[in-house]
Amino acid sequence: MTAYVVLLPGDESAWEATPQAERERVYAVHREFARTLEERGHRVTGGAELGHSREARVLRTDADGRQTVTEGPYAETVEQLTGFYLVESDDLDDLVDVCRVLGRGEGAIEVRAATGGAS
Amino acid sequence: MPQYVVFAIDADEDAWEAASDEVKDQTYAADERFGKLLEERGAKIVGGADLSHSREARLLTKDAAGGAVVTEGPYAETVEQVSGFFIVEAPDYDVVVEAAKLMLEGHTRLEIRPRPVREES
Repeated sequence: MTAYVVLLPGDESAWEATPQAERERVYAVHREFARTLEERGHRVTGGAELGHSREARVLRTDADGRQTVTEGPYAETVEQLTGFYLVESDDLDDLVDVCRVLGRGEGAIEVRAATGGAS
Repeated sequence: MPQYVVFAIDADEDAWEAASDEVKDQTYAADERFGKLLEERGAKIVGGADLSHSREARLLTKDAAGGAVVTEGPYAETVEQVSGFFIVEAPDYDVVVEAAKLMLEGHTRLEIRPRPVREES
């Protein structure tokens, strides 16, 4: 099995303003995604929903070697990572196909192989 | 205990691919020091993954009719890409930030985000 990461970029502000009923619909899409993965022989080994990027802190090292910590995300874009799954799978094409289920609740979905395997 | 996700963001994926084992080991050693300091401060790593090069990514988006479109490559066409992440359980934010400073030796930037407090479904 190869480990893959399913990354979910999206518009956080729109999500924050989303009424509860619509959120429940999106969570139901996620549950269906997880169920379909299992039915088709993939395995979810981890994942997380992320807090709003305004809560983020970024660490970097300046040219003079000084370390700084700032608030807010590293990329100032409308689309931010909102969450991700770790999935073990033997079949990337089928995994991508199952991700179409998530497309009913998420704008864009990026699938990447993990190199070291999930720890 | 609150959970946080620590993303490693690296300026040059191609350079990392071409790096010698010695250089890679320095980065892995910095990552290990991060884990060790967390443990000393009552925190721990509960998950994570190394990501492969973004050229291996597949992206799903929607067309005008709502159908899925699958393309190759990452969603963000930037030089800096997320190269991996850790999920950390820690007593507070500052513990994570302090420990993450140790990883700057091996990574261009680190972004830390709290996980929202919500019942697991």
